[in-house]
Amino acid sequence: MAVQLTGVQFSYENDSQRQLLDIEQWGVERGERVLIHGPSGAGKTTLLNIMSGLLACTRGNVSVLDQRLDQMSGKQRDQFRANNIGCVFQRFNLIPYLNAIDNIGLARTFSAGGSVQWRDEASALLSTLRIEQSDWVKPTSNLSMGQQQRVAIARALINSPLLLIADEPTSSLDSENRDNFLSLLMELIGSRDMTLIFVSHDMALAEHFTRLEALSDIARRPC
Amino acid sequence: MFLRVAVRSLLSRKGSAIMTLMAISVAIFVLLGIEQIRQQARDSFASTVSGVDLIVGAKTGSLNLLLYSVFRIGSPTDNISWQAYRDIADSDDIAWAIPISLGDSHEGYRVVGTTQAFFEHFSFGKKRNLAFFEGEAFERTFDAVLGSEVASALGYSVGTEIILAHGLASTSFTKHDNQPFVVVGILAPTGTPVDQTIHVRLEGIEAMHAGGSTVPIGAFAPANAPDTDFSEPDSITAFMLGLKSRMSTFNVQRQINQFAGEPLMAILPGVALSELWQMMSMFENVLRLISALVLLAAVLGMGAVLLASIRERRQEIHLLRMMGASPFYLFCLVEMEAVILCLLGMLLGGVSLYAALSMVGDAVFSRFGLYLDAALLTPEAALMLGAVLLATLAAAAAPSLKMYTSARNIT
Repeated sequence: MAVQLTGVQFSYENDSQRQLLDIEQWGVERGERVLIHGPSGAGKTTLLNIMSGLLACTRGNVSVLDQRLDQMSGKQRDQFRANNIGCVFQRFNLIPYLNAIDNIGLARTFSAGGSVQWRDEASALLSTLRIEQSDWVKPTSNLSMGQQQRVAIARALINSPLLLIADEPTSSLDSENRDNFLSLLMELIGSRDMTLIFVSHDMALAEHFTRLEALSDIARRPC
Repeated sequence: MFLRVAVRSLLSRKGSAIMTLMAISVAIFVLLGIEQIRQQARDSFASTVSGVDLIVGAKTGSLNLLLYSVFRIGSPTDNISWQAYRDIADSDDIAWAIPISLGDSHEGYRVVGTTQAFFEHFSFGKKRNLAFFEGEAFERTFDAVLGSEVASALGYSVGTEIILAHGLASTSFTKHDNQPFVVVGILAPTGTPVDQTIHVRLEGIEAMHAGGSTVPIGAFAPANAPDTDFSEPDSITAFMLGLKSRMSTFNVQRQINQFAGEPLMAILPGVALSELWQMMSMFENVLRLISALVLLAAVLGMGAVLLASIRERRQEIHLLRMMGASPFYLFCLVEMEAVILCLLGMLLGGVSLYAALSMVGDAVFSRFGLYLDAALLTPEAALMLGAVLLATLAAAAAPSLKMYTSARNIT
């Protein structure tokens, strides 16, 4: 299993009365491409943060790539995330004061594979993602949104993660850039046998995925 | 990569980074500059007299004797008879003796009656002898040798005639008008009270006080040959001794203190100088306190600027955490930014101080007698810079902790 959630509950420490998430049982098989949709504010990002180990659930078992995140320390979760999980967001995917290559290199330094030759891999990824070589060393704030999102894929994949988590990565893109982004993403994921968990409110993307889930089906929220 | 991120991050906030850097540079400049001046002041003070083994005067406090004999401050309590001087100066252990006679002035500058021995044996600093900027030592009764400051302040040069007055005010009523002295030499700057002194021969003082009756009358009375058989003075104010062997210093000091003829005392100038400096340690500490406070202000300012920046870095924090950075990494990132600012500030402050010193060094030396040496990295300065770095880390702890907590509490 890529992800296995059992009896997971989450609430913020300073607001423990309000359950933000309550999941009885939910899982994702390895190699699946899951599209999760739901209204904004429904807890999609919280769910992703729990799966990436950025947030620790209040109760329950969180197992990612057959490892129990709920039993790890914060530091172990950070290391696990760096090694095994790639993330792409709607925006602010790159450190604005670093160029594309440095952004990718920085992501590399957090993983266990640390300082191994990553430049060749980064070059290959950026070429595959059709980023022109002259744009590699520009400050990323000078790149177009479409370019930034594609560099973000390279940044997320540099540590060869087995799980990619994407949080509305296409919402800031126009339709042409969106299709471009999705086809490149799917191509890379397919060639690497990765699992994809993709959150979006755009149901039109459904054709790219193997499974469609509504957040309301995954989580019941006692409100 | 960590360092690169910290540098790039600072560069992305160029404006505030540069302002902070400048504040720190100024503080480092002040800190090192004051330290430099403090140390040089102490050194040049301690080396006001060197090579003199003992200073002898009438019985009084040792600081008082030091003040009037070396610094020309205050008044001697009593004089020493010429006979006592001769007795001591002629004894076996003594290599040389410099008699000093005080009491006259010119335009507020003190006049010292002494002998050739003064120019031969008196030394200051690291055993530096007196050097002539112009002219030569006095040879005749009414010759005068000026300290560098006297010459420059009063605009005198070799050949100028000067009138000396009894007492110390420039408006003294009893001017020895009938006996003008002629400037024959001007000393090079020393950074000691010698610069503010007019030196004449002992017999010049005697002759002046005798109203010219012992020498031929006339404006150019000393035109006669270098006089060797002058009337010996009855008394002098103090004298400095050089010993044949330093081993006998305490022996000679005891003999003088127990001198049978009249109540005398001998002091070791080095010991008395350091006693005097001790009294000024308060002043030193105030200087240090001021520079420490300037530095504190700069470091706190940096802390405030960094703290304000954390708020704008929410998304960056979130992204870094998602990439796998631990909260501790983010803590270190802010500390690193502070350390970079601090080290650059040290470099900039140090370099500008160095430049400033090499530009004004000569001017300061000639005006204040402070020899500012360009060796900035003394062990003490290095220690201070270490303390600055610690203060920087401490001041940056606040923004770093803020970064840490924001990194832990991702929402």
